[in-house]
Amino acid sequence: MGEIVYILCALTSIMCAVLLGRAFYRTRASILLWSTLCFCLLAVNNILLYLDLVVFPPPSTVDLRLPRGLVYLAALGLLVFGLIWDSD
Amino acid sequence: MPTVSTFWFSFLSGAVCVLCLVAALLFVRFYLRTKDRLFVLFAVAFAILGLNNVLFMLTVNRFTAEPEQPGHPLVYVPRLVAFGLILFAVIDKNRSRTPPGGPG
Amino acid sequence: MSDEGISDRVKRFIATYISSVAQLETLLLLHTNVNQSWSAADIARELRIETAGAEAQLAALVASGLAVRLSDAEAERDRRTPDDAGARYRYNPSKPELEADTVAVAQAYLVRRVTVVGLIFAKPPDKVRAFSEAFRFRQDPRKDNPNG
Repeated sequence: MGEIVYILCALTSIMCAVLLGRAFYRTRASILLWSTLCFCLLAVNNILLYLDLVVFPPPSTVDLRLPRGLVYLAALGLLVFGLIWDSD
Repeated sequence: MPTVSTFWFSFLSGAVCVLCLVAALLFVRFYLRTKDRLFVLFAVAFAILGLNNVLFMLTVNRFTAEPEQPGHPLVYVPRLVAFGLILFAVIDKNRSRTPPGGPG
Repeated sequence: MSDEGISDRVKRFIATYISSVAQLETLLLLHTNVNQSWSAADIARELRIETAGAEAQLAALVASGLAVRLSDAEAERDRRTPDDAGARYRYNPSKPELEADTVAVAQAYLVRRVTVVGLIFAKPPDKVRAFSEAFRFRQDPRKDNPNG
């Protein structure tokens, strides 16, 4: 069940990234740049989550918690920065 | 015994949690400004993502090196709900609501 | 509405500097007659808009670094009729790239007027709304946008 959820989350993130990226291309509003990057990184985070917990299950030596955490932090950092800095 | 690496995981988890809640707060502010339903849904979604970390911290013993089990509902249910809300917000946005009237 | 045939430079210029059709036409009027200064009344007469609106467009162009307001002495010199009061403005790009951009926009407006107007209308009035509107699958160029 968890596997499907992570893939769904990744796909939703990618969809948001595409929509926001397309809008940024049209309007050049920088808030859209930061949010696009955020959702790209959220997609990466969900993919890493899938890899970490499904492809390389816990007993494995591959532990992706640090990259997951850093990517998640970067995603939200960019989003919060964009929402504060570029919201007029 | 908490190891150095456990500290980093806790730090990242806490930082992410706070940023999620701040993002939720900013979305609430945007909703108050624009009355756009999308922002409420995004605010709730990111609040849930933030609370996900809190929930995790409260219920899992962080002083072991055990990574969470993929099948554990605590890990994926809040995420499912949060991203489900985001997905719903996007679909809702596109359900032919006429844009506020522009010139013909 | 497709916006092919419009260069990225023009799109970027419109997105950054142009908020209405009136503003674009004001800029192009100033640009066509580089050595001539214009007052708000002149612009209003030429574009058939309200003088207050023309004043706002000229002020916006000055703020964007595309036009400059003449000093009172220069304005006095350029006055055509005695009762033509008010500040006078002249095209004056603050950066060399802006001149090239303006030329490109003028050209685009000449050959693809409808598309350019569509691009102006496609720009949402504020960034927060831009975030929300981004999630529409099909973008509507006729947005809630004050036109000139």
